[in-house]
Parts: sequence; structure tokens; C-alpha cells
Amino acid sequence: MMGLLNWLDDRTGIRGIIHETLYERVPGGARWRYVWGSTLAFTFFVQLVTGFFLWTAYSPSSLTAWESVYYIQHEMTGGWLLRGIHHFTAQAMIVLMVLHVFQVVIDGAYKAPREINFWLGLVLMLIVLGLSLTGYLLPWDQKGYYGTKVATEIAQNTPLVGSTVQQLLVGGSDYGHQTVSRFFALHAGLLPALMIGVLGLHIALFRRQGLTAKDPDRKPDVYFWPDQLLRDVVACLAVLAVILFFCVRGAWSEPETTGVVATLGAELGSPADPAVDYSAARPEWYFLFLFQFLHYFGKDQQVMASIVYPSLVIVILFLMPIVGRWKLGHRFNVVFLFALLLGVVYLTGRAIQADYYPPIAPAKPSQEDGVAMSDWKKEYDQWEKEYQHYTTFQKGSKYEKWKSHRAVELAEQGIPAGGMLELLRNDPKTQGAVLFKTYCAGCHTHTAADVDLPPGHEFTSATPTGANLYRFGSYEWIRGILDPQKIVTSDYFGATEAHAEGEMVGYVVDDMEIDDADLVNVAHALAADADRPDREPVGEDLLEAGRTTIVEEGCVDCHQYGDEGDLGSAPDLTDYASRQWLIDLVSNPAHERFYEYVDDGRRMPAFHDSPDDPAQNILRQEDVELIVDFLRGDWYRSKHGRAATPPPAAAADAEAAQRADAAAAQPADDDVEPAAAGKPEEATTGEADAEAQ
Amino acid sequence: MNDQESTGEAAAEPDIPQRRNFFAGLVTIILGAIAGLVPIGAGLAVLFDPLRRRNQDGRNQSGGDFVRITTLKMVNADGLPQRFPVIKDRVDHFSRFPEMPVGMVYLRQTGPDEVVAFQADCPHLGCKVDFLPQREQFSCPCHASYFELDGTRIGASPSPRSLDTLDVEIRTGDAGEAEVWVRFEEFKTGEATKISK
Repeated sequence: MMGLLNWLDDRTGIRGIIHETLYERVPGGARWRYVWGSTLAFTFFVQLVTGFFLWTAYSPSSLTAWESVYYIQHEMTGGWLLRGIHHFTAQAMIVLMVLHVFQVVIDGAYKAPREINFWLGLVLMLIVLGLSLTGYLLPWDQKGYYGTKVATEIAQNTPLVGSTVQQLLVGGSDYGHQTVSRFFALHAGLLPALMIGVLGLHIALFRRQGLTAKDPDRKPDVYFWPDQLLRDVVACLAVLAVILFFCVRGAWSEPETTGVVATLGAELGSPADPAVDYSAARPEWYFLFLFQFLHYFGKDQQVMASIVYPSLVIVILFLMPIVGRWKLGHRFNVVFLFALLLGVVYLTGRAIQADYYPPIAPAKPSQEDGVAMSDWKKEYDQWEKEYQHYTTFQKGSKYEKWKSHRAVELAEQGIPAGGMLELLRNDPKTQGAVLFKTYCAGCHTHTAADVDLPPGHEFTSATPTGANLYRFGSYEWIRGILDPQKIVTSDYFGATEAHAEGEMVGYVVDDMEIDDADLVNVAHALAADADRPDREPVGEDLLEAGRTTIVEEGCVDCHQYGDEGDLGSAPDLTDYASRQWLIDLVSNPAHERFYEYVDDGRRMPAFHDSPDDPAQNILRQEDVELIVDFLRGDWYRSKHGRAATPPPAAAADAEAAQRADAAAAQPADDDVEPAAAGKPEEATTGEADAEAQ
Repeated sequence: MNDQESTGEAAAEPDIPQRRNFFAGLVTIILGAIAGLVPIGAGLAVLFDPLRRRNQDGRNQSGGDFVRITTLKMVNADGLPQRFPVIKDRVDHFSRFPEMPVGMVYLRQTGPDEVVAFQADCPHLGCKVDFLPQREQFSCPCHASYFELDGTRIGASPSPRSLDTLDVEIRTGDAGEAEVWVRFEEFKTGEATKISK
């Protein structure tokens, strides 16, 4: 052993190197205040290690980036922890870097002969910021996509070289495969390599020049090993503990309070979708001040605000060692740094406040005070703007959280070759809701006063002219239309032009002589034909009785029902509200099976009545199907209502268990569904209004 | 402070008594190891995930079910082997590809209702073997292994065993036509006997 060491030492001088490393002199004794540099080096080490392992599972392309990160986060053993550590260490690094810079400046450690090392430190800081920026995009989720898009658009504003730089960064004029691979090459290749090099120089120079002792005569000098190193290591552990705390923090957040399903580790948003806006797009929190800063500048000053001023700050930082030669200069540096921090904290605070706290509306002054009135008007306009900003962000982020949860649920089935976006775009619960909102909610409501709706299925039309379609085709819905009190309400025919005083209403209100028990059977029989996925099965004898009632008690006088009755005077009851029936109705309500007898102007539009001439249709066939499946609640339901990210082992066990009794796996998870899905516009605004007043 | 600044190399010289603080050193090493091992541990868990997954996650494993390859009519009646793709669902980590080619088999009719199936992967190192009609032999283009019509390994071939046979069933399809179904499996290469992957 000793021989081997001697052999090695002869050839490398290893003993001297170790000795030099460990027996660095610490003037004035070991102190806690010297630990910050070491914690930074430690966090960089953590990033290299975790980054490498993430690399082994990450696939950089716009069709696989989100998908592989999903796989790391939700399927791979320890993936959530690895990703969480990498994510939160990046943020810890920013905080530690700020502390480090402050300490160096306050202690005047940038002064001769340490100027160059200070500059190296600033270069390191820029590299770390570059790593943050490039890393933010890699999961290719909505927040990374839109957050980074803004940053590259800013780069485009740089005079002269801007658009070239942007195209080189993005790999073309649009975001795509090469954007991911280029950012990845920067994030995992160039920037870390630079970082290692510059950090090496930084530490070498630090060792050469020695520690800037705060108080060298406080105690006798000691060596770095073991006294100072022990403190450094304890500090690193403390930093790690904080990081780990943030990784597992999600385990305690309750779905009821946050509106989101708890996640362990770092958040993964819904996959990047260039076609869908993300109104809650924000950069990472440590860039929020720059985001906020831009708000204060008009269109002519954007280049100043986004490029010139930030660059000036960096220039001033670089000049600090020179300015600091004079006593006043040093004071200026310290004051400047604190002012900068204050500004950053203020801007960050404002940004957070604007997003998370509703502004308070200014109180209206009494009528006679003319001056106060016009002031109030101004204040009110300002308030309205801020309020708009707040609700837009809140809505956007709630919807995004809902969608990201839904994406994870859908991904359980395996992701098609077209990527997660394809799955999400073909999901009735997600896309059907969007289409319903656009094409149907102008007339139809999708909510019921007496039902506690799962959030995200509510669309309140301000001026409904059609029925409330929430759970259309369910037993309850059908039973309701056969109720003289209910059929006249706006939930059924009350608000419709064609039917409010039509024959069905007249019949149900005045002429129907079917007793309640039989109506129950009729509703069950029709609901059985509609066959919604959420239907509770009932006995065949009830259904048979219901069918007999339909035929014998006069329904078929107007409606066709199987072989009985005729088309032409009322919609076909054969397979009423079934998937195909609905598709046919939405496609063309003017068909004789439906509302041919209603005047054109009072009938629902035909959404897909020219199958042979696609350009003539309002909606594509797929879109009609998505809307229909949305109405029928016919969508993928998670095999395991993944309340939290379970440890992957447990997830696998759970999956096996679920497979065993797949039949029973129709969880009522809709009731604990997260937030806000779709578009809780009205609801959210309403609440917020109440808060604001 | 100035003298520290100008010390440079000289500071390395131990002019202060070396404290033999065994305990502090030990604690430092232990805590340092913990701090370092946490990120490494999380990384290794992810790195070794495929090992853990292999037996548990049966989704992508071969072996299981019979796959319909073709109809019996499509197989040459002359007893010469023919290549067919194996079409089944494939799962590649997060991606699911329904009905895609996942491998290749040789089918060879040996009787009116009898078909033999070979895995087209060479048992040596997994290259796809060719069939040479003029020699009526299988040959591997990579390392020149040769196999007889019935799959038997020929003399000096580097392959450690004959071509791998697969279970075959002749089933009657919906249209009443005879179909060839094969239990598609992959085997470890380089072994003297057939071992499922």
C-alpha cells in the first residue's frame, strides 16, 4: 500500500497536492462565514452528478422531451427524486451565488490582487444563469416553452445581431426538434465544460491568494483540514437538507387546498403546445424581476429595458474592483449592490403580488366631489387592468395545472408516436371541453343547479337558447325532461325558441298521463340505450317495462322508437342520446331523424353536414366526436387515481393490482378531480369579484 | 490582512501546530460522504431502473402470446424457408406503437399442415440471418455462421447453437382459412442452449 503510494507520488507528486489541498491556512481560525464558496462548489457537483444521470434517460426532441421527462418523473425508480434534486439545486445555486457575491463585495475581497478572480466569479455567475435558462426549456412543457420563448424573443431584439442569434439558438425560425437539441447541447455540453474550466481557475486563484480573512487576529490560524472543512461539509449538508425538503414538500400539499394533485420533486407542466396559449407564462422566480421590469417601459424602450439596462448592471459589477480602489468607490459598490438587491426584491415582490393577490378596488367617492371623481376614474382604470392581469394569470395557471395532471393520467396508457400532444388533443375531457366552449357554450349551458359538478364541466351560457347538456342522456337528465316542472326551465326547453312552447312541453305539462313509476322506467330504458359510461345498471325487467310504456303510452305518436312510430314530427328515440345518435344530431340536426320540422332559423346549426366536402363543414368529424364523447363523459379514466406521485415501486404494484380487477376500476375520481379544469371563467371571476369588493 | 494577501505559496508551509483532531476528521469524512452519496444514490436508482423493470414489466417481453404471422397459403409449399415480419404492439419506454413490425421469422412448410418457424436472429450475436436459395443454407452475414435447411448449425460456424425454433400453431381464421401463428420469442445470444431473454 505504502509502496504503491510512493510509486504514485514519485510520478505525480500526489502527496504534495493532497497536502496543499488540505493544509490551506485559515487565518484567524475556522469560521462559518467562510462556507459559502464551498457550498457553491458542492451544488455544482450535485448538478454534474444528477445532470449526468438525467442525461441517461432524457431524449431531446420535441416529440420525446416531455415524454421522457414524464417517464423519469412518474415511471423510473427514484426519478422524481433525481429530477427534484437537480431542479431545486439549480435554485439553491442562484441563492448561494447571491450570498457569495454580497460577501465578497462587502468584505472588499475583490480588491488587489483579487480583481481577476472576482471577474472569473462574475463569469461563473453568467454561466449559471445560462444553465438555468437553457435547462428551463428541456422538459418541453408549457411553462418552459413559453418562458423560454420570451427569452429568445428578447435576444432577437438585440441590435444588429439579434435575429441571427435567435435563429442560431432556436435552430431556425420556429421552435422545434433543434431547439431542444441545441438547448440541450448548451445545457449539458458547452456551459458545464466552461463552468468546470472557469471554476478550476477560480479555485486555483483563490488558493494562490488565500482567504480574505475578516478578522485574522481573532484566534490562532488553523488549517483547512479538518476544522474549516468540517464546517463546510455541515453547511453543504444543510443546503442538501433544504433541497430535499423542497423535493418532498409536495407530499403534504392537499389537493383540496392547492387544487392540484400533490407532486413530489419538480413540477412537470402539460406538454408544450404552440397552438394553445398559456396565459400564466412566467420565467423562473429568479428571473421574475426582469419580467416585471419590462412592464414599466413603453414600446420604444423595450430594447433598453430588456438588454441595455441589464447589460449596464453587469458592466458595473465588472467595474467594481476598479471603482473599489478608492474608499468612496468601495462604499459605492456596497450601496449599489444593496440598491440592486432592493430593486430586485421589490420587482419580484410586485410580480408575485400581481399574479397571486387580487388588487383592491378603489372606493368610489361621493357624487359631488368632481376632482376626486376623476382621480377615482383613473385609479379604477388602473385597478381594472391589474385585476385583469390577476384573473388571467390565475385562470391560466389553474387550467395548466389541471391539464398537466390530465396529461400524466393519459400517459399511463402509453404515448403514441405523435407524442403526448396527440393524446391530449384527442382527449374528449380536455379537447372536447375546449370545443364545447367554442362551438356550443354560446347557446348551451353545461351545468345543473342541483348537482355538485366536478370542476371543469361547467359552462354557463349568459343567454342560453338551448338545453343544459350536463350529463345529457343520463337517467337524471331524461327523467327531468319528463317532469312538468323541469321541462319548462332553461335547463330543458324553457330558453329555446323552437321548443319552449312546442308540443313536447305542452304534452308533458298538460297532457301526460303516465304515472311516476312508469316515467322512471321510461327514463331508465332510454338511458340504457344512451349507454353513458357512468350509467348505473338497472334490472332488465325495469327496462322492459319502460320500453313497453314508450310504445303503449303515446310516445310513439310523435317519436319513432325502433319499429314503432314515424320520423318527421319529433326526434328519433331509437338509441336516443347514444354516441352515434349524438354524432348524427350534431353533424346535421336538419335530418329527418331530428329537427327537420323546425324552421331553419330556430334550429341548431349543422356542424358537419357535408362529409364529401370538408371545407363546407364547421367542424371536422373528429371534432364532432370529441364533443360528443365529452358530453357523454366518455374518456379515459385513470387506472389508479394517482393522488400523489407514488414511489414508482408502489405504482407498479398498484398497477398490477388494478389490472387484476380492471372491471372494478371505474373510480369516481372525477369527484376529486383537480381544479378547475376547463374554463371556470365565470366561477373564478365570480369568486374573485366577491373578494375584491 | 495584508500579510495574508501577499503570502501565496508560503501559506502552505505548516508554521502552525498541526491539530491532530481525529474526531473532527472522521465526522467530516462521514458527513461529506452522506452529502455526496445522496445525489449519486438518486442517480444510480434511475440508472439501474432497467434492471429492476425487466422481470416486472412484462409489456414488452417476448414469450407470451402467439402472434398471427400469415396464412398457410402464403408459405411456400416447396419447403424452402421464407421471411415474414412479426407484427405486434410494441412499447418502447414511454412510447406505445400499436401493430408494428417487431422482428422477423423464417417459416418453412414441412408437411401439409406443418410449418416450422425460426427466429431470424443469429444465435451468435443477433444479426439477422439470410437464406441462400442456391446453397439451401442459412448464412449469417456478420460472422459467417451457416445453418442447414432445418436450422442445424454447420461445422465451423461461430454460432454456439442451431437456429432457434419457435412454437407454431396452425389456426383457422375468421374466414375459415388456415393461419400460421407463432409464439414470438427472443433468446440470449452466445449461449449453447436456448434461453429466453
